[in-house]
Amino acid sequence: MSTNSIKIFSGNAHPDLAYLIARRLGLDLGKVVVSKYSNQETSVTIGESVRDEDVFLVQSGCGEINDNLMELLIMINACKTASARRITAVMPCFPYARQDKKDNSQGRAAARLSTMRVSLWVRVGHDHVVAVQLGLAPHPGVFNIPVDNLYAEPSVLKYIRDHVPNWATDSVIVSPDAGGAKRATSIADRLGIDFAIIHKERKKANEVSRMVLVGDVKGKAAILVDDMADTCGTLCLAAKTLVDHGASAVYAIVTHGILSGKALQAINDSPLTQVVVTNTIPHDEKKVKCPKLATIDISATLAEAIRRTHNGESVSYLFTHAPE
Amino acid sequence: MKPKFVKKLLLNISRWKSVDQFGTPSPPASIKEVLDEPSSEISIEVVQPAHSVRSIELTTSPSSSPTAPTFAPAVTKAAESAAVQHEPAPASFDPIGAGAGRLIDVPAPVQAPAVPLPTKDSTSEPQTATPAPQPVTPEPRADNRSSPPPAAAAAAAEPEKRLRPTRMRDLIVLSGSSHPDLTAAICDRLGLRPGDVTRAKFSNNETRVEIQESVRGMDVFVVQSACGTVNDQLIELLILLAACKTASARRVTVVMPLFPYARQPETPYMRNGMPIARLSNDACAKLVEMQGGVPFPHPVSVPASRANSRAPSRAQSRAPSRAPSPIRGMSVGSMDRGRAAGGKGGPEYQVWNAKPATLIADMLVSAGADQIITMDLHHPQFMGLFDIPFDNLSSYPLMHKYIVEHIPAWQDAVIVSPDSGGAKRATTIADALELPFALIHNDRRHATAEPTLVGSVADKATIVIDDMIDTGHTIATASELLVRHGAAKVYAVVTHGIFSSDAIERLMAAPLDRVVVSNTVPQADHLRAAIHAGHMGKAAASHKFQVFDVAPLFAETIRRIHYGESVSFLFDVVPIVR
Repeated sequence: MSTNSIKIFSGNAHPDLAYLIARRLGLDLGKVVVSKYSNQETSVTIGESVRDEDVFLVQSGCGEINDNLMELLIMINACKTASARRITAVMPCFPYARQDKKDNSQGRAAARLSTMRVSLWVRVGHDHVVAVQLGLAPHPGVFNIPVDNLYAEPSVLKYIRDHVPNWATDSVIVSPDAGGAKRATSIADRLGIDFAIIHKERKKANEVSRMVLVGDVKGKAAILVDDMADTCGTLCLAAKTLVDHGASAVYAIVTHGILSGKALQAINDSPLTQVVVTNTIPHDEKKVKCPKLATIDISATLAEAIRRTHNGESVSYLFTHAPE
Repeated sequence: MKPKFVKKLLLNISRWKSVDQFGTPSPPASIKEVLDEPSSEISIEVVQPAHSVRSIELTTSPSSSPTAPTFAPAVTKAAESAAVQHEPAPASFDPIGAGAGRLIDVPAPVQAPAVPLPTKDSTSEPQTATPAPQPVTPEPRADNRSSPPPAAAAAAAEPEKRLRPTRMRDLIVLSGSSHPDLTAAICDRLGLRPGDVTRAKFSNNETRVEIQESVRGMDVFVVQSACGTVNDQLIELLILLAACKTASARRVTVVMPLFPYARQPETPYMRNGMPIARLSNDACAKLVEMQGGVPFPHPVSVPASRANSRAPSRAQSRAPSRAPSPIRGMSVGSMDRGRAAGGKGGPEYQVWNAKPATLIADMLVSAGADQIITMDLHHPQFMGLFDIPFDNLSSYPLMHKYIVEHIPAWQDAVIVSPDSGGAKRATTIADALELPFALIHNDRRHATAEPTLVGSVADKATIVIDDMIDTGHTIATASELLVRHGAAKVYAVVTHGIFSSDAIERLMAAPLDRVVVSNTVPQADHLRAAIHAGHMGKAAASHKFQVFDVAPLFAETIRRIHYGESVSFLFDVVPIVR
């Protein structure tokens, strides 16, 4: 029985992360050319044989999401028709995850994207999905193929232990909204420190009107944890609230730093000491504009997950430990 | 019956009567608007074949300029606005002139004689003062999960149009953001307004679609053409289909005038005809170099403006002056690179070009399409990939009509196919018109071989028939060849006018007498680009670049499908245009 090898291909969403993952595994990235035709249709050319190989396609759902999504789908299809043994989509940031939470009040037919995603994915032909989340997966059971939802939590814990001064005695984990309370408590319990919650009172759909702090942050470093930072409106308001309540410093640790629009400006103007994001989404040029930005590298976690999946070992080790 | 209902019913009945008077396939209303623009205000920068920004409002109220959610939030791209409620083009027919006073100076409606556009254009005074649509910058978002800015001013639509229902019996037509003008024209023919759909993007570029009215139990037709940013349109279409499905629509039909990913790239091959084997490191590096030095092994991304040439199936033996596209680099077109790749790799492995036809078919069906209507599919055998009903409409009757009515001395013309793949297409029209036929053949296996003409065109007017113009290489080269062989005139009649990057300039510079395309892809911006690039004045440019309207054909198909009548009737006869 022949053994197959790992082949890692990357789309255009985040090639640097793919390169880091491959380097971790001691491999070269697979040869693939992904570009656009003149009429803006995506073109994918796979430059090496994937027959009977274990193929991992690294593509994050960031930037031009629709283009990147199409690139990924076409790459999956191409590998399938090229007789790959198993195809895994490694999506550090899974797109269209937030729109599930829309409510259908007033009977409007807003698209329920979980359905769209499922229908998209079911027929495409891949066998496995690896995604990164901080906390519980928002959609267990939706897919009928194995989904490995990795947690950035161990990396976050490691970062706090290494970089926040006096974390054991002088810090508090804060969740910027009620929905993330479970996330925050989980981290706080692991570290053995207190936690607090900021509760938003929304008057209108887009506006955050008042933030109420539940818990005590006086004289301590507040560490905000969240899964996504997009426009950072919530984050900056939360930081201001915490400082008003006496926090000595405010850190923000976010899994996916989308940081669109005026986010960088808002961060620079806010009382945040540091904003830490993982490299699921590329942000190198943003760090130049915003010196408060720092990075947690999760390529190690992803590489380890790939290795374990390929060898048939348990991935659950990664739920509690961050590889060095 | 309530008086309001009676009034609506009477209005609708009178419209149904007028709907039968289709008349000649005049250019679509959006094109007429472009021609009515005062010349000084034509915007110059358009080169991308983006979906038409907005049809010009012919009212003079400045507030009616669209502030709708933008579709391309990236700052570097030209921002395009998609109106929430389309301002439908002014009626191309409205004989009864119903409704509160007409506020629009519309050129004579459908019954206009088949006079070429210049005469009409030169005599009409530019009544309208509205400039070309301005790019709209995205409004700042307040929050992570923000909603799009408020709906565009629908006040620009005439009051009488607003009286129209969005649904007829249980038929409703929804538009994607690719071609709202065509949807508006189709709905005109049906006596409807397009359904209310909000389309926007979140600040992180995710597409957001909301159907603002109930489609429960309705026969829904979603119109989306694969032009401009194809991937965005496709995902938007899928989301729209899923939304209709989960909103309990009875049946959802997708109307895609231009079908996405319809052309499949051919596997690149070497001089001797064998497929190119694995991409060696050298070949990859060379490919990467051609795109501007992104270091291997990172995959490359070519901006659309530089990937100018299509797959080898469309590659010409004469390379254009700019850098070739990645696929082209592997083809016979540039021999040195091809040889380098082929020589080292050995014959074991074939470079694998993704052919996403099945993928697209599966995606559409999974998202919830129950039926698909398209026009002039590039590979007609795609119909076999679908398990659902698939209607591939033919634009040939409309082309036939155009040729007979607008091409002078067509009885002495020769129909020419610009490549051997399109021979069947051209012979169909040649037989219907009872004209002789000629063919241009490219021998791709020899890079330096000239294209050859099979047939005779000396001293004759030639009509080149093709299904799409993308980069314009094929048609431009064909026209040069025909002129060299003594053709008196060269007309090009093509279904889908995609016109990527600098295709318009190439065609305006080529020895073509006329380029005629349909409006399956929005053409208003292309016309503007043609006027600018042609350096020959608006009248002459608009005579060289003409558009024939396919909305009546689609509207009639929709009607027939809805009522369960025969659609194949439309393939042979031209009932709608008599």
